[in-house]
Amino acid sequence: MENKQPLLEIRDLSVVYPSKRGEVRAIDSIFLNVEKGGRLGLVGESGCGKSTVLHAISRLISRPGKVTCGEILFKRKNLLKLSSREMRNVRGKEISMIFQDPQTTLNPVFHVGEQIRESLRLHNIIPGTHLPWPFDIARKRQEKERVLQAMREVGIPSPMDRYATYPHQFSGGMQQRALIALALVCEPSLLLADEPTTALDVTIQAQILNLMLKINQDHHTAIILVTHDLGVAAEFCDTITVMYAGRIVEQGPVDDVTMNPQHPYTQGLLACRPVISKIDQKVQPIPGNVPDVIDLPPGCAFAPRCPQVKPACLEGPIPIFQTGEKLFNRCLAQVSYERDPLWSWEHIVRQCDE
Amino acid sequence: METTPPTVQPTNRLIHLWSIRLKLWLRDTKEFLRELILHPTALIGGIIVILYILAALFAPQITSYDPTKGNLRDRLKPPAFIEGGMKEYPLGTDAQGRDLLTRIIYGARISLIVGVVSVGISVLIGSILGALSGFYRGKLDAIISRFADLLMAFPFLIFAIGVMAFIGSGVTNLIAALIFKGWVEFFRVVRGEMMSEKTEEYVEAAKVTGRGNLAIIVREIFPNIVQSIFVLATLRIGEMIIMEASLSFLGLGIPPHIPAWGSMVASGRDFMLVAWWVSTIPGIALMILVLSINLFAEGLRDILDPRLKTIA
Repeated sequence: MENKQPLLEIRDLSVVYPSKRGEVRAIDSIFLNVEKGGRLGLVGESGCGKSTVLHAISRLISRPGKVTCGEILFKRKNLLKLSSREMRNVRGKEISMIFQDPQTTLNPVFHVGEQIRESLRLHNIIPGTHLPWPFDIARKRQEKERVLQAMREVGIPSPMDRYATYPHQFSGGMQQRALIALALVCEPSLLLADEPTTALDVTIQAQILNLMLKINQDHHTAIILVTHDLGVAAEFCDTITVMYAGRIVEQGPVDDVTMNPQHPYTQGLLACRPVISKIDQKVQPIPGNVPDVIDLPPGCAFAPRCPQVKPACLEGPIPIFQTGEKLFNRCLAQVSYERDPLWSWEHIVRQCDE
Repeated sequence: METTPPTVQPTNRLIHLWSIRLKLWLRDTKEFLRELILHPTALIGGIIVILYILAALFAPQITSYDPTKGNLRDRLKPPAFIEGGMKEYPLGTDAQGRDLLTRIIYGARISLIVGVVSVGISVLIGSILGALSGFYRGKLDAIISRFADLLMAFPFLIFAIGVMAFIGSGVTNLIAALIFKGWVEFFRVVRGEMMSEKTEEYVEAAKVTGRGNLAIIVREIFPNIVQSIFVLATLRIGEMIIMEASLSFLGLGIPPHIPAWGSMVASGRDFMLVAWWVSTIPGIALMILVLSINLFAEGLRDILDPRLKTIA
């Protein structure tokens, strides 16, 4: 474990969307660590800022939104300080992304193979100079070879025939495979997966997860998996981060978080998963909704829905406590209030104060 | 894994490449023709349009008459299929004794040139401005859009009459007047399409693979909207031809020494009771051409959209 150096380190990242009623803190002071070849799961309900984290990493926060503070260190470079040209070289080549709905992510008017090849061409993966089109045939052949190899690797049957087909001629699972091939053809070291299995049915979901696992092991590609399904995350990831209303509420190795969840929100998420062996047991939803992120309660954001809420939870901000070697938890109910936080991110590395 | 590409002589390589290209092109053309047969109206429209184009191209070969010089002895001869008609003038003659068929064929030249050139330049201007303002929005978009709204507030014909009265008649002036307002429609369509396509996920995916904005506009979004531009452009060619005829009819478009359908209709007005063909036949020629263009455009829309196609 010790020899793994961090590939991606997010320190105190906040993303703010200004709105007419006030600022929306889509992400509030996030800390993340992804090791080389690591598999991190970001779990939470809709609107808790999971996808925003991915967009922040690839620096694609859409216009009114802004990263207000923090840094994203990728291979010891701060991505937030790169010029847009440098960032374009990082995107696709070193950090790739796959999306929830493969149907709309592929450009409908180009052949699937050509779209994958485009990524190779764009990042000059095949060495040599670009010649104008009548003379680029040798290079094209090499690129095509790589594309076919990638398509084979993600399990697209008879890639030769599939190279020149349109996205709508693929099934959903095949489209997602093609997208994974597109994301992986440049062999990035980090893959951002934004709910890659949500639009697929369960059997395909398992296949895609296995495929991503295989890629993770074969190429040591680190993966950040965003999902609302704690089950998927538990199966796939080695570290899980649970987010709520833009904040991390619990983070730790997968076994600790799923077997022995400390935060009431994680417990709630686990309780509302249907379990097939307990068919007569009713699913227990978490009461209430994700709070309005414009005016969050001053204390714990989960307090209004929390079954274990204490008076202290409603007062000032709750720090994150380190409860184990790699285990973090933002809950007063679990830690006695008198005890000082063992190690608090806010107290030590807070970079910007408003 | 390194694969060494087989060594091919440069000239051979070029020939090889072109043979592949030709094969692909032939395959696409064949497929297009097969689809065209399934849309008989489009096929008929297309054939008639091609006949018009051929007639316009080979006008001097088709007819031996001069379109501007008449034979005053043969004034207002009826078409050959009517009593009193002469075989020499299949569609009759006008008040100056000029062969109507000849003038219609030469008139097709003007109509087609005006239609194609004015639409072509309108598409160019409208697409570039529309793509930029739809993608980037902001101040640029606000300025161009308001200007477009301003132009949209005028009826096309009135606007064109005004412009022509201002800059004078002539083929280039006519084309300029048509472009001056014609680009607006393309601008609006491209801008709208751009705004909706911009939010599609494939655009975001392209950003994630590291593409720049201009490349996204030209290489990712544009191929998705080029079909609607193409179909609209085909339809607009018909409309522009009608505009040209209307202006010529009013004496503001094509100068009188060049044969044009609009001015032919106008010149026949006075003889409507004694020689109806002088006005009617150019009008019918105009109607058939525009109708054919519209039918062809409608068929094209069905054929070209790959999203409407089933698995090949």
